[in-house]
Amino acid sequence: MIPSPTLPTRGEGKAAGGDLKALAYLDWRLLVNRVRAIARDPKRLIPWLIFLAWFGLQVPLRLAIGSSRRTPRLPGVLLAGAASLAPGVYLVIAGLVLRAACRRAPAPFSSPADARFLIGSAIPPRLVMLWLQLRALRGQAWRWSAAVVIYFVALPTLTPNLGQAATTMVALALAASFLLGLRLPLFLVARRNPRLPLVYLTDLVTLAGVVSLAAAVARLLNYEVPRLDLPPGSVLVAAIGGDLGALALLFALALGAGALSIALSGDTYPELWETSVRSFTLRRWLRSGEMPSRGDLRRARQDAGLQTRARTTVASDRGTHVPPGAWTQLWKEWLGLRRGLPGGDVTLLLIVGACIAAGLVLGLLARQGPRGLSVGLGGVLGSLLLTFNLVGSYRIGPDLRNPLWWLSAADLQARLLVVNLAGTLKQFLPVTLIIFFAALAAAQPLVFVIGAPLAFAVVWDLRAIGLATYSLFPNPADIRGPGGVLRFMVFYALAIPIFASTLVVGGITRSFVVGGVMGVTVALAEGILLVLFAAWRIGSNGLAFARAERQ
Amino acid sequence: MVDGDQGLTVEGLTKRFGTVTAVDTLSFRVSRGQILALLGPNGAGKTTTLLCLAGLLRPDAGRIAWDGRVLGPTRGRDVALIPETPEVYDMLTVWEHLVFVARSCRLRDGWEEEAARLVDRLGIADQRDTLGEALSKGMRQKLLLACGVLAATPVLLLDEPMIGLDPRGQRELRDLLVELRRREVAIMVSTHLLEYMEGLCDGLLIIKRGRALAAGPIQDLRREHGGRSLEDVFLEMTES
Repeated sequence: MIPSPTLPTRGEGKAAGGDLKALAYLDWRLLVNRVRAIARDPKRLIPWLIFLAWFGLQVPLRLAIGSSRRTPRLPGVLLAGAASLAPGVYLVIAGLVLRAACRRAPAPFSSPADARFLIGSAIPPRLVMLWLQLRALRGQAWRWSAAVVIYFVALPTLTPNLGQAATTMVALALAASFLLGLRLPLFLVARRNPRLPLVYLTDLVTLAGVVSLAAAVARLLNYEVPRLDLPPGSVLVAAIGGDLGALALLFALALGAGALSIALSGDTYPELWETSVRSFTLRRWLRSGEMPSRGDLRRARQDAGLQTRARTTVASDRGTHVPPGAWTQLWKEWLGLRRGLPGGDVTLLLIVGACIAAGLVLGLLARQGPRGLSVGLGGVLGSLLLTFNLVGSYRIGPDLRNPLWWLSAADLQARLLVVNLAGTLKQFLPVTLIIFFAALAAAQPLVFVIGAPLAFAVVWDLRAIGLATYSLFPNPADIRGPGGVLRFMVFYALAIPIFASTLVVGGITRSFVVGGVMGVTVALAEGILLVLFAAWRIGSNGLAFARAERQ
Repeated sequence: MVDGDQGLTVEGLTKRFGTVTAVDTLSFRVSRGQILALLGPNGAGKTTTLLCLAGLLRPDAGRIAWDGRVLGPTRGRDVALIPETPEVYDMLTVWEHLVFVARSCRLRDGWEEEAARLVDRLGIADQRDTLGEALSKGMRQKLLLACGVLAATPVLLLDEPMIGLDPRGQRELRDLLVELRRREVAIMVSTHLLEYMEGLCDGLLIIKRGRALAAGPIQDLRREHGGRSLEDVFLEMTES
């Protein structure tokens, strides 16, 4: 029995002080318990300690290298080029973010439980919003601090000192906060005034960014066009350059946008919750290194009661040309890609268009732009691809969990090789498109002849390294930390036989092409060996991996 | 039923998702100390209705009131929802969840005894220091139930509460709901378990495609259908 006299009643006397204490209690206990949970499994700490020790040792090493006069600095032309493109890029991003904000509120809650408990509490919504903003700020501070350290450790030649790196990151964080802070006010204005052409205004912002970007590229190609460095991107560039006034302006803009969000958040819970549900799904999938399909998002919305269970039908593939055995996996991946791509064919066309444009710009810059800029920008794209594969997570849990996967007549090695091929093709095809159009615009066919097989071999190896590391660290958190370091090490270790075989065979035959073919062959063989290693680890224990991946 | 504006009153509740109307001008009342069963086939709009009531979805039209007072955007303070998918903080223990609810809902002193009694009664007392991530679905459900009851809201909504509960848990839930009814809490339970609800609820609301097909005391409804079982009545109404 629960006797009524002791029924707790809601007090109205304890105001903001008590509410803040409740919120502080929540975050404090979450932190304490997280630390305890990590400490509970000391074995898992070992690779992390190795990772942190490695990272800690890098800082003094990089300091020594960075302060050396002989250290080659990143070419000024690349920095100047990047600075001239930045205002346009910022405006394009701003236009796209604000366009999305017109239709969808931001997602400030950190988990479904967070949303339920905070919305159901007696704490005033504005105070909850303030707390969520402070949380976001804390997250940004952690993220950007880590970025400063990684930036400093990984690229000692990019910046002369830590202060410069810190200024850059603070400026970027403020510029990002300003943009993110504008989303809720814009969403509310759009919701209350559906006839206002806000979406078109955001499209104008994107268009202005594209024009600014085109002008910057044209100037780099030595065409006489006026500078179109528009704010707030130009303010960001000035702030990165050390202009205190610009930094103060960015701070004021970020603060103002945040304050406006809090002031307007009195009646926004339903929309914040709705977007949060979508965000939880997105975040869960992005942590695992893949984009959720439309079906995944729809299921998440249905589970949360945000959408009726409408039946989605597509014409079934007749299956007349489906390859047998392990190759069926390739057909399945293709169907998933075609049906799951958010935005469908429009997104596909946009991706193809962006790849063609990027290739043409790189090729034209190589042909008539400043010396080294094209190679520098190509290197940045390449390093992004490398970082994505080496730092991102790896995920095959949905397959391993699926009974159909284990029904296949093909053995696990063959299926994992095809999975690796499918993952490789997803990245290789857009990269090849960029290389092809760059070679075309630069009128250098050799770039494509050498670049395309090389790109395939590198991506194949990177995917295989990811799979092999996954078979050691299936947990997404581990695969990003110690797993990431291991992947870097394996990548460098595997590069040695590739380069060695290329040089030796190329030297003996006195043929660059034969040497290249040898290097690519070695890379492919290394990838196969890594996949076989992963198959040996995962074999007959797949469900345990799928479970570990979900933790 | 209590006359006048006592209890939870819902008038013309409508919620659309694009061109699909999930809840269509739904009107009903749950009086103080009444348990109302919300029944309907899959996709009938039950969860959407509960989410609108709890302030997690913004209705396109309609009025939601408690004792004649229109409940605004912060109606989450008056309406506790125990969702079908029990979501708890992975990194809070069972007891810490209750502490947070007590503080964030500004409960007066004495809540600790009530919370201890609740966890004991729901059979999660020995899980007091267990983290949310280690709880089974049934345990999570019990924890959310304890949180919902502790929050002392005048309205309690439960979405498929029996799923995940063992027979013992189902009995405890039933006893707890009876207790809460005595405390004059207005309770609404969405479920497919007709037999379970038949002996428990005071009234029912059957909906299909977001529209009310029937509402009122179970006995009245059965009488209208020649004394047939609730299951027969439900199937006849929803499949016609």
